[in-house]
Amino acid sequence: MFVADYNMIYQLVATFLTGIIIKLLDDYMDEELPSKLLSPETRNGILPYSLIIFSLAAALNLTYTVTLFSGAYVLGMFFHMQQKLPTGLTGLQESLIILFINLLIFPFAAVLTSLLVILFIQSIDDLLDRQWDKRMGHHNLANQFGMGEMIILSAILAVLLMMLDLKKFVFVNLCFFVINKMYKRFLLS
Amino acid sequence: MQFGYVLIAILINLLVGYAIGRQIGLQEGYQRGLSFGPLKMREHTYLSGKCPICSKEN
Repeated sequence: MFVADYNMIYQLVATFLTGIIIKLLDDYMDEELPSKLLSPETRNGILPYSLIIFSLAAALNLTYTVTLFSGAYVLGMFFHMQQKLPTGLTGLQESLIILFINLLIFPFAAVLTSLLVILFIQSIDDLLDRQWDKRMGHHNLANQFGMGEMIILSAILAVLLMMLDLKKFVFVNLCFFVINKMYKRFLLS
Repeated sequence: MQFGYVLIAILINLLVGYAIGRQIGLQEGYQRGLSFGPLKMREHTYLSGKCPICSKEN
């Protein structure tokens, strides 16, 4: 089915590195960076190291890195639709611009599957963090639409992604699982 | 592939039905709760001799 060559390893490593960057960005936006990263020695290193890791991921596999990161950005801004951002545009406008640029540069299938897989990860994450987000007042799809609806939506997205791009679906889920485990073990303890 | 389309169609039907049913249930439940609430508070006052909101003795 798949030709096992170095391409797959590059895709997996690029997905893993992009996942780390997305997790860091998410925590930065929610102002929930772990205290180990906010110490005086490490605080100034977050931005340069994030950019280095992103450039390495892009060098390994440009399509996966940029589409996954843009997908995370688009979906993140989509839920702050009316909020005015530093560029002067609303969240919705920025999302549409980024989406349009991605569609100009990358194949439609790559952009679509990246968006869907990020939405799948977002819904699983929201299902797991329902109670925490309710207490902290963060936006949460499971709290907004209901747990049952999100479970069925996750199942629909999983089936759709398995039909469209099984490799990306497996890689992203694997990386999500590993990154969460590593995060809890090394940064939150 | 066709199995995938059929499965997605079934899941979409399930999602729409569940979402509509839950919304109707929430509205009906809220209306019933509005009429049940005062009765329950009066029962509590009668049994305990205190107001459930301000804890003032009867």
